[in-house]
Amino acid sequence: MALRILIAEDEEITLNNIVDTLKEEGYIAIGVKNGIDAWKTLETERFDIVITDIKMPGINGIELLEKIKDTYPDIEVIVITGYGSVSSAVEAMKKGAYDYITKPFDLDDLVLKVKKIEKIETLKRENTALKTYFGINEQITIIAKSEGMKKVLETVEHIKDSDFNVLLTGETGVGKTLIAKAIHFRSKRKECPFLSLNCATFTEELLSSELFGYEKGAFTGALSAKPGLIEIADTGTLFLDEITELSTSLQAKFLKVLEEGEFYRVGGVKPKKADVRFIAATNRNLKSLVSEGRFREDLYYRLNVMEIFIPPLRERKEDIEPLSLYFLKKYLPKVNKKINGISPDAMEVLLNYSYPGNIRELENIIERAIILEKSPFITTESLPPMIRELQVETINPDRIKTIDELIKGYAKNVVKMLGGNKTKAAELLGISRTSLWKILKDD
Amino acid sequence: VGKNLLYVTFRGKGSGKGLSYMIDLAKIVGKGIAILVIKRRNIAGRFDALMSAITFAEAGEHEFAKEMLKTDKKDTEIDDITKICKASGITPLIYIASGDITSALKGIIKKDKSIDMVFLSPEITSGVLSVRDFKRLLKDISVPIVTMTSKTKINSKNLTEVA
Repeated sequence: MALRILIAEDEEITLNNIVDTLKEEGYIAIGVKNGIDAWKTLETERFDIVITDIKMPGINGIELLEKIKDTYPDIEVIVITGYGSVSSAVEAMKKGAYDYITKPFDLDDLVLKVKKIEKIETLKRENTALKTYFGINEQITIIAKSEGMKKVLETVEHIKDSDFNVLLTGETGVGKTLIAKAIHFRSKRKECPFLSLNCATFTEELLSSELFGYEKGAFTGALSAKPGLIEIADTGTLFLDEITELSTSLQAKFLKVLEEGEFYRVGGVKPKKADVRFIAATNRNLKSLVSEGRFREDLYYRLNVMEIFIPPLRERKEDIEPLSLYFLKKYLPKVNKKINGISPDAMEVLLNYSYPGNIRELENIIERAIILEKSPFITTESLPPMIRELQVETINPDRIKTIDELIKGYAKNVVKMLGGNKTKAAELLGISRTSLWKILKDD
Repeated sequence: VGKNLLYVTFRGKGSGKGLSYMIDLAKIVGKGIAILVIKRRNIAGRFDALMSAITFAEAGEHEFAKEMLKTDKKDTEIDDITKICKASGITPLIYIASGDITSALKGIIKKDKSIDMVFLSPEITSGVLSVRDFKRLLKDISVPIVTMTSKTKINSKNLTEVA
């Protein structure tokens, strides 16, 4: 895409020379004879570069530069100064001009300066595109009213600036990817790439080439070398979802990356190094997979330097209402409707549902309800009929607590509530101090 | 490649209850669907068929007797379930087992590593599963189990108890 350049110069011959030369070089060049016209043109059209003479009637070059930097800071400005007026050139540079050129000047010099800016502009655009691709600049909103989620966010804050690997566990749809992004974008790596890969969606061969990359000729169809995600994520973070889907051979290769920071591209002979923070996620019980021999124990310990468990939505009912209202606010602008909130009846249905698909399911329910609702409030009629007709309960065998565990949890909460006073806690619980001590003894 | 939600139901009338709910959920969470259809052992029914076949055979109606002994009647319910899934753009993976739910489920989860969650249809949850069965399920299965029960059934049950 050709750069758009505005030239403000009161000497007609110089102005025409500049405009013609820049047009010959393939740029879109528009010339104006004074600062006032330059400003008017800037207000109606988009430009990448402004070339301005300093001495002009009306608004002079320095004033124009100041206005541009105030309103359009991304536009680069080259000022043209008269012979011997070094002080005005210095003033212009201090006020944010990209460069200056002294009269009489060689047009080739001016073209060189423009080309330099063009290179920077291209890099800036590529950078913006990459940032969008890698999710940098993404706004992350995490709703955490429940104790469980508050704890998760506290842990994220604690670990954000360390470099160790993180294991995120939790059921499908609880927001593991969001937490992984939160860790990355609050860390010192936030300006570097955040890449994610779902290990369950690739075959072993594809996963291997996606992760480690490949050399030219490594397999049929490998017409050129390609870097893998580990290489691309260098200095950033790589999020590996459904880590348990790595085959045993890939687990071994991945362990080498974690232990030595070194890997080989598929078909490669030279080891490559990358500084990557890994965040792995799974909805399975990794410990039991280790005991079944389906997941390497050494890899488990390497990944599990810090485990963050994200509780399912049914275990943090306090988050349902704020999440529902957040999704309502998120999706409402997409439809031309005025919905003021969620009716108490509908909220009761939402609060009593067990969400096997967790937050992803709640988001879908609200999005759907917004489309269907005809009244100013979300009513039960616009909620999926199945969640009204079916009693759905989710049980995670890994998360079933024994009566002893429940008693202990309750007793701990009472003690906490009373500021650690165990005598008062025992009295409130209606048991002796010895009994309370017995309940809490393993802590 | 990819993960599946497993829908467990009995073969017979009403075997697809709750299936559309599960299809919606599978789409939301981006997973596929596997279906386990359990054939109930109907010893009394089989004995009746056998006795009738003998009676017909004794009366010389050999063809009719043979027909009565045929056990592989066409699985129209399975066809229906498959059609419902396909109409929603999902091609399900179908498993058929007979007898004990817990053993069948345990076997499939051990064999098929893509199963991410188990959904027990209202047909399964409405009184067929004993506490012992449920204990075994929780002990042997490590993936989340979702039970679906018809709300109208719960309400009518409560009314009967009160009456």
